Amino acid sequence: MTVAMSTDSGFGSGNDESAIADVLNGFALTSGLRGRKSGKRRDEPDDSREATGEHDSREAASSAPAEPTDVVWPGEEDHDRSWTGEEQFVSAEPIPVEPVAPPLAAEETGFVRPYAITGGRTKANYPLELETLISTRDAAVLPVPDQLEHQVIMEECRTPRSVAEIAAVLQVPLGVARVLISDAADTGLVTVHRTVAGSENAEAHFTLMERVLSGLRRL
Amino acid sequence: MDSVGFKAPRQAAPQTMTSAKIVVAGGFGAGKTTFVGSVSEIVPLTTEAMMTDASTGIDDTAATPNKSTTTVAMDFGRVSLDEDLILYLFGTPGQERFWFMWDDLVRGAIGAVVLADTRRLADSFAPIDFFEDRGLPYIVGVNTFDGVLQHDLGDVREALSIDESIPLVRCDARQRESTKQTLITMVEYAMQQWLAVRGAAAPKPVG
Repeated sequence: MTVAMSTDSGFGSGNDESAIADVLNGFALTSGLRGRKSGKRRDEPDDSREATGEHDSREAASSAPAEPTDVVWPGEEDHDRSWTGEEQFVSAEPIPVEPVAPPLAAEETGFVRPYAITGGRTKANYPLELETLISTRDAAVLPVPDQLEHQVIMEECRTPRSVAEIAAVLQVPLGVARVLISDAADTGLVTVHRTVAGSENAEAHFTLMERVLSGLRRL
Repeated sequence: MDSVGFKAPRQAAPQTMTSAKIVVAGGFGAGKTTFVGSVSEIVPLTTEAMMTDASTGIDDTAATPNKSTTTVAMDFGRVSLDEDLILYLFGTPGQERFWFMWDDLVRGAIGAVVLADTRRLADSFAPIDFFEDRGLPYIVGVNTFDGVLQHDLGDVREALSIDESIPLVRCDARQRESTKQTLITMVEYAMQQWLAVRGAAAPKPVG
């Protein structure tokens, strides 16, 4: 209900950008929660937070002139208010309802949390070091991945690529890349090569150093 | 049978690939990216990590909950040493406040090259301290900008207060040959260290 209202008010104000933002928010909300009961429940704390926020800013505004110094710098007061506004925005971040001002609303909708692509998961099932090599499996029949990122990983790893390279190509933070690669390996799309240096096998580590040394000399 | 696609032979990978990692550290402008780029077969790539990826439990982010998107970028390059062996060179993020990334960097690394700029030697203190603390073998490469070594290497060693046994070499990060030689020195030193530690402390397993 509230969502619909905010959408209406958005159109009413004639501000296109804020209207679009409201509509998007509306979709996000309605897809997330079904039924108005939960919608109401979400709105209530938000209202109260907004109320306290306003109270805070009013308090700040009223207490500032009441300070021993009679001089109130207009700039300072402004700064106070905008700071409070930011605080409001931050605390309201997870539940984007009823944007306070159009610019804030635009910012809110433009912000996508990096782990959104992984469904919020942050753990990988494999020990994926920065240099751990990944290669696309050579099987005759590979399932076609649903996720675009997995398609990119499969394409990229036809020749073995490191976790760091995959993260760079996907332009996602390392932690996100690790989860995506782990998923791709779970699905059987890619092979995770063993990282010698990462294991605790000291003998293997020495052999690796020997190989690296002779490799560098050959360069 | 939908599962047919998933039951493909497990031995699908043509061969096992191996990778190794060397860390390149140094202050801002010490020539890390140049060093990596002079020997890398790819234009150095940049990867990012977020504060929340690695800092959980290390950095106290409770006071700044909105800092969850702080990202740190690091450059890296790739050198194929053999058909099945790839060496990666990782440049450390310059700013010290991004220490959280360094754990990922040093884990399993062969060792590190600390690039020192004699005009800003103090920038090398923090990485040297870190590698000493972690027991990661490192050497110091004094980057000779314009081919000129401004200071006596002995003076540099004293200023950095590093042990006599730690190799201190001059290098020109722009020259592939110089970079290569610095890396060779680093790996040789890491192997010496390995033998010294293993020989003295741990009894060798059978074989």
